[in-house]
Amino acid sequence: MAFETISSVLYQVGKAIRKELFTKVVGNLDDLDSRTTTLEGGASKVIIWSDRVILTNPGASLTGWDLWKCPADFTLLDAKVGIFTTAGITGILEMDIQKSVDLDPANFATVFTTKPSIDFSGASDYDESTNTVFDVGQQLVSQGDWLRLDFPSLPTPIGGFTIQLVGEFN
Amino acid sequence: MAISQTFETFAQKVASNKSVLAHLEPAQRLVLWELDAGAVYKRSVDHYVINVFKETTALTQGSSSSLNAGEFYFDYSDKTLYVRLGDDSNPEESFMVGVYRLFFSNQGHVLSWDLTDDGNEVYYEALLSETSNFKQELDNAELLGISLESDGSIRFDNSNGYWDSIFDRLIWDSRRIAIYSWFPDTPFSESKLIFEGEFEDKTFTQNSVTFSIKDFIYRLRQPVGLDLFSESDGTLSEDIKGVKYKRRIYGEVTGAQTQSLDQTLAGFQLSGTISGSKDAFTVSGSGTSFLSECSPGDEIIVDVPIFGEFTYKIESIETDTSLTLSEEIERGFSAITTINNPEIPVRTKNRPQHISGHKLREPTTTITAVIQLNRFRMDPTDFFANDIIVVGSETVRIKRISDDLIILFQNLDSLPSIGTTVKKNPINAVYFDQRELIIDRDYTIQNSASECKITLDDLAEFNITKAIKIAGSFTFTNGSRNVTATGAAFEANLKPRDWIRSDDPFHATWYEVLQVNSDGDLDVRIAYAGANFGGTAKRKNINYVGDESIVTVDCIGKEDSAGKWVKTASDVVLDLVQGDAALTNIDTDSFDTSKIEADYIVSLKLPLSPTGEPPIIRDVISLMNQSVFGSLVARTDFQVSFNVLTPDRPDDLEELKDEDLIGARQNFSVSTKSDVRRKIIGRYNHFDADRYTGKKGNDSTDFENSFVDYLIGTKNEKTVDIYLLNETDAETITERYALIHSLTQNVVTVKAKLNLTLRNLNEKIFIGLTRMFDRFGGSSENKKIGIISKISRGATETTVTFSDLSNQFNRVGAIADDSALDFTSAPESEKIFNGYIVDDDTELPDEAATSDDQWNTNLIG
Repeated sequence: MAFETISSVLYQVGKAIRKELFTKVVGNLDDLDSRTTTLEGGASKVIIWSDRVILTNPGASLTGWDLWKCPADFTLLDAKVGIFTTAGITGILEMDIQKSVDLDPANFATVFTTKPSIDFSGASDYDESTNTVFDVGQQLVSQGDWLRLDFPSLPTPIGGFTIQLVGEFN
Repeated sequence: MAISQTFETFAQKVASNKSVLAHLEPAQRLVLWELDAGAVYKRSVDHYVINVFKETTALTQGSSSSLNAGEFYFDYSDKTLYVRLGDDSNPEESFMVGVYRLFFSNQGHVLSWDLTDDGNEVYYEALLSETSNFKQELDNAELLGISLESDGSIRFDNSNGYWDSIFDRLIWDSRRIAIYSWFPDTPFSESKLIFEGEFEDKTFTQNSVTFSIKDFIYRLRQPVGLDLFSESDGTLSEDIKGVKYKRRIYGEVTGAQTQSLDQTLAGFQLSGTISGSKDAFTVSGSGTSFLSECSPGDEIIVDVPIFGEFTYKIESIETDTSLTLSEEIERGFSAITTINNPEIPVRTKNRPQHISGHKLREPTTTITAVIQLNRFRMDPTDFFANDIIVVGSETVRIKRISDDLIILFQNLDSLPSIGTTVKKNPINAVYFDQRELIIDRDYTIQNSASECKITLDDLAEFNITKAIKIAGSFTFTNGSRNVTATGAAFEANLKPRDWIRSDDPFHATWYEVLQVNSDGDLDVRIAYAGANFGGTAKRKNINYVGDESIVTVDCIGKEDSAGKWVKTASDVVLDLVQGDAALTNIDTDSFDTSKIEADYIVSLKLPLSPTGEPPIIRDVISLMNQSVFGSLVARTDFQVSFNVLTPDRPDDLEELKDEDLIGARQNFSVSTKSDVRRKIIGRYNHFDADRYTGKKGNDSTDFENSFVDYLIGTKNEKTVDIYLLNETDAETITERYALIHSLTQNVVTVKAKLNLTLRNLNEKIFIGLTRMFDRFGGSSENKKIGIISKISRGATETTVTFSDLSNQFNRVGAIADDSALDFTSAPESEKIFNGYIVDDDTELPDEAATSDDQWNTNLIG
């Protein structure tokens, strides 16, 4: 049902609270919900990181590979790491996203219950992680929050890999 | 006979010739039978037979003496009863019970046996001399409640000795009785049932026989049928936490305490056998696993033949087959089993945790359209935002539901397909030690027809415990169980069954602590498998689930026999009256309607406390009634009906007029019932244990009524327990209590003709009596809408009590038809039905009003 303007005559003092008033209110809400849902499904994604990463001698872990300041409230939707090859590589590739209201390192906390990771001992070429579990209490990101990308565990030797972090406006 | 007349026509007449009829249905064992033909047996009987049972199994009524297996036939013409049992056996070999119907009236009539117009005609003995009035009443001042069971008595003349032969020989206890009112000039079928119930006690004199009788509502005084825990459920003791009964869960609950089915109690048996010599400190094992099953500080209980039980504390553990005690062995033992009573709970005990003595609802559906990785369509019945669901094999949480569109908090790993199964876990969350456990990692769910339980993973407590860095420098040696450190404080920071790991990035494995030897030396239970490492380390101090620990769950409740969620108050009451009270005379339409009118999700655990006893059925129904403004009543046709109080006014509302009353028009009285409160506190979402404090509690909402503050000024407050889950629903109910408690109720009692006999408790009615005072919120208008709270039915007159529930029905506006007139044009009779837009300041529906009379009327509430 298309949006319909509700005439003020329908809600003037002394008017009976008629069914048609509620019918129009419900119709307009349905229309708004339908259009909002369409909009959300198409244009609400926030791509925070979607990159190929190449590190040079980073060590066994790396804290603060990148920082990103949030422009608006949204919900973290997906986080993945991906690899190209497993040949000659051992160890675990693990990504962490830490969230904070400011840049004080003491205030950062992980957004995951289970961090996206790939264990090379059981991985295949071109794998993407499928183990991510967000911490429900940390999944909502507010305007002005900082997100920090860490790698708590890096394999050896380190080759190129991909990372992805996507959100969705609320 | 003026057959075209109806009961209603005659009921209006004061001097109508009324008859009272009674059906009494005693039982008798039928022992002697003779073969009639084939497998059909027969016998003569003295009374009209309406049912025959083989033990407790009813036979079906046949249409002639030529019977099929499992049938009976009563030939009234010669009072012969024929039966053919299901297995064609001789009924003399079985316990056969016949149920009779005896017919009585106060005047003597020939009427049909079943009061239809074409049934077999029988003589209704003119022995019925008196019946009491049968009163129906709601047992709560707010008209939330259950109709009190109606009881009374019926007396028969015995001056001719009619009862001498049957008073003691027939079985009357708990047998059915029905009493009817009938006008002899109307068809038999116009008789009206005024009481249906059971015999309770009886009195015999040479001149009369009197029965005291009660209706079926009394069955609600039985306790709810909950099962006791038993040895077959596992290893548990009532003495630990006082839990005796398996709980029943309705709707959805949070913070429900579980019951361990594998308690440690006095200890658990160790693997293998042990031996030890008198005066020695060392115990050796065969097939034992001391390293994983024991810890220093544990007590082993050794039952030495002849000498009895000895208890020793473990000092240290050397290997899987050798440990050292803190004291000398008093009596030697060899190759015997032993019990270990651990000082610290072990992670292999208390794993199964019982939740309910029935299956929990587990909604399942399939995807009908796929939109994105976090969007798809499906039937959303019984699914809500924040639910944990399993899509195919992936566990995710619902962020929002819009119509049939499901939006997830997190992308699925791969696009699902149309037809992919979506299942909602019956358990939404599990908490222990202030932390939430994660499904599949920390626990699994077993949801069978007879119970629901979770099984904790051995590492559940480990998984939810945060790792903490330990000060010091540590040495981990490949192949060794020993860890050394400098600058560390092991004795203060670690104890047996805690965990430690090195910060070696290539070996992130955790090791369970066996024993702390000193501040710089400890042993773990298995050898370190990483490369030799020197550096920093982390610890986890674990709080394990023990016998007395509190684990709580947030979960959905019971499903009915058809697999539907027992979700609303209506569902709960129906489940109780059908399942526990075994009532069969149910007005299911009323339950369906109430389910729509009060579709709130209830939140109820039975017993209310984990350690409680099974509550009485009617007490539980009362909790539901007070939660949704419900009431359970027996209607005039003795069907049990569940109603929810709503402010709507039926289009066909009947009017009580002066001519309906007996005697003069002034023959009514109005009393008031004052219970005005300025503040209502609604306590909802009751939980056994808060996840942070472990204490029993609830959420609460309140409503302060400025109407009362300004106009009445009372400081009285009222707290109501609302057994609902959601805050918005609890707020709605709390505000309704505030409305009802904002003004005094008017209670109108009238003595009326028999036409009011046909009315039911909780029915709404116009009170249109000429001498009634003007109503609150009605300008010069005295019509009120009342709700029936009490009916006392006699054979010739009826007394009815109405309440206007603080003028609720004209103070709360209802949505009007599109043809409704504006306030200034509408007749008074329409104004009491419809809601009107009011001025923001004056709250009057007429901007040109010159009177305050219409204030506080027809507000949307």
